[in-house]
Amino acid sequence: MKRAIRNTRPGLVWTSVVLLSLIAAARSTIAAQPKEATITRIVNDVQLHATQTAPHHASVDDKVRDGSSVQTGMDSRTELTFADQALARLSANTICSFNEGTRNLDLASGAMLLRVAKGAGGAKISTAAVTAAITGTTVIVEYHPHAYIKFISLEGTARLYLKGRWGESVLVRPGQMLITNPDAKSLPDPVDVDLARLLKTARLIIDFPPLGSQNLIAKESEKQQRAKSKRNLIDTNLVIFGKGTLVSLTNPAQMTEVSPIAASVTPGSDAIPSSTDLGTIETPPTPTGSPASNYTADNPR
Amino acid sequence: MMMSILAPASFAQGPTSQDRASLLQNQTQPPFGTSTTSEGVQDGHAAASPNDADIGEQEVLKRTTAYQPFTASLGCPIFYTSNVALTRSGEMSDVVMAPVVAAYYQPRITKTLYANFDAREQVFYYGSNHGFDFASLDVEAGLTYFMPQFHNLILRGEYDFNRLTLDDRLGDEFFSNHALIFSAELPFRFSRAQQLSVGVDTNISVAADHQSPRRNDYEGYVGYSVSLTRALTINAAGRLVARDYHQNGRTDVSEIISATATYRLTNWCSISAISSFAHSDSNKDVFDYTVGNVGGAVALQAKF
Repeated sequence: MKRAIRNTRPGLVWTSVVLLSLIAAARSTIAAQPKEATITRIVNDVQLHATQTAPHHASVDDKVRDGSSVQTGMDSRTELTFADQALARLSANTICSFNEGTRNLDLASGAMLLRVAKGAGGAKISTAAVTAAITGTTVIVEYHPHAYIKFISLEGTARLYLKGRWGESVLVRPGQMLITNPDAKSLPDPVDVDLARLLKTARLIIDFPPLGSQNLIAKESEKQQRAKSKRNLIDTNLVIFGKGTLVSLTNPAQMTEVSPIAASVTPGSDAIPSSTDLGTIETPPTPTGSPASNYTADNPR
Repeated sequence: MMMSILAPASFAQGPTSQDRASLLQNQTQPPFGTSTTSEGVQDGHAAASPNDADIGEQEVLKRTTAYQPFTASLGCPIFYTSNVALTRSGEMSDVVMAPVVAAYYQPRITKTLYANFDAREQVFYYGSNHGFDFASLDVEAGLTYFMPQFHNLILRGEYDFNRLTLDDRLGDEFFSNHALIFSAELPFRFSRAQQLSVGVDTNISVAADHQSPRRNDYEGYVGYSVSLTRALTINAAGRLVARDYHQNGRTDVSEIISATATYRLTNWCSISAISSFAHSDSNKDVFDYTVGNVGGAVALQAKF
């Protein structure tokens, strides 16, 4: 009996060791998944700044680990794919660092497209002053410190909020764009932008393979077209061509560049445009009485 | 766009010059954007670069929201009250169900001036003290004027007809009152989610059937509203009301605090937790009372 036990023990031990190793390996894989991205596409110059190594030119299949940053040069773009299939495409002259994988993207400067699939958990895009919380969303963000932040949702709803300003948050719904001064004390209302036009002209979309959320974006674009046909949304001749905040007044007969919308900002502001200046979202007053007019607290008898 | 504007200037140079320029530019430009400012910004805008099209063209669309002047609502608060008869002593508690139906019509006259017409009927059913059951009908007509140039001050003036009847016989009136209501409210918005409002309200009775309950109300209030999430809002208010009765030289001063948490289930349905506490002092001591209410409510609302 003892011999039998002696004979079986090493087997049990080895089996246990193997099982534990497998579990540990599986756990570390799961833990590592969101903390690592792979560079899946490079256009021209892209540099990788890893935490413990000198900056070097990135190449396809390079791993971008937690705490690393990626920098694109002029006329350069790159695509990073995360283990949970989240995807980030960086525009030219962009610096972005990654903490906790897709969970926290710190956009130091530049522009990027980010897609986080539904069910992959939420993600945060942080800039110095504004944070965007997204879940199951495809968004484009452009940020330049001390100048402006531009946020466009292609599908899904994102929440933007100002750091250190409790309660100052705005929902940006599909097809909406918000532009604000990073030093603003309050966030403006978002405006609607033509998704179909943006999708046809954005090189972060047309120069890359189709996004996993392409169908969802197409649905949102169709919704916009339906709203247009019902005259709930109306085309304007105000267009921002690419990055920046310079609004151009387009006209079939004449294409004139008008003064920046900053000119229309209220004197005393930082002369940085916000999406409020781009259009008007009508918010008719609701039939509210005094704040105490809920239900009769005091018996009127 | 910038390229197209600058394009005519380069035609004179000829294709050879263009090729040379293109070749030399590609070879001589530093790779990481030193031709722009360090942050890629000029005068608050992204510096023009060959990558301007990276994020596409953003054509602004104008949303046309049709103004919906009609609102219909249906609500049913159910709450516990500590003092059914609002008495100074011998207080009796009870549960009250007070379904309310209301219709509002608010046509817009100008951008800042709205007319309002509304009618509300609310019935108060007491759980065990059925003798107190009653119904209250309000019909109002008036104007609301917004003054954005003066800190978004809201001014209201309206006529109100109030009629109290027995709950089971809505035609059996035991009190009616015609009043003029004037109010001013000043909202202070701290952020998108928080607002403090201060206001004054006067309710002047111009005629009544049964003179003894007839009174003028003069009220000041402070209200606070915070949206904790997109669906959850908390309101709190403190009110001080002086009630000057037309007969018997009676004057009451009431202090009322209330708090409501509302969770919006859909655009047309919400549930609330409601609470209030009131203390009233009268120059006729027999009318002093204290009452606390706590409960919940369901409300449906449709705009069209």
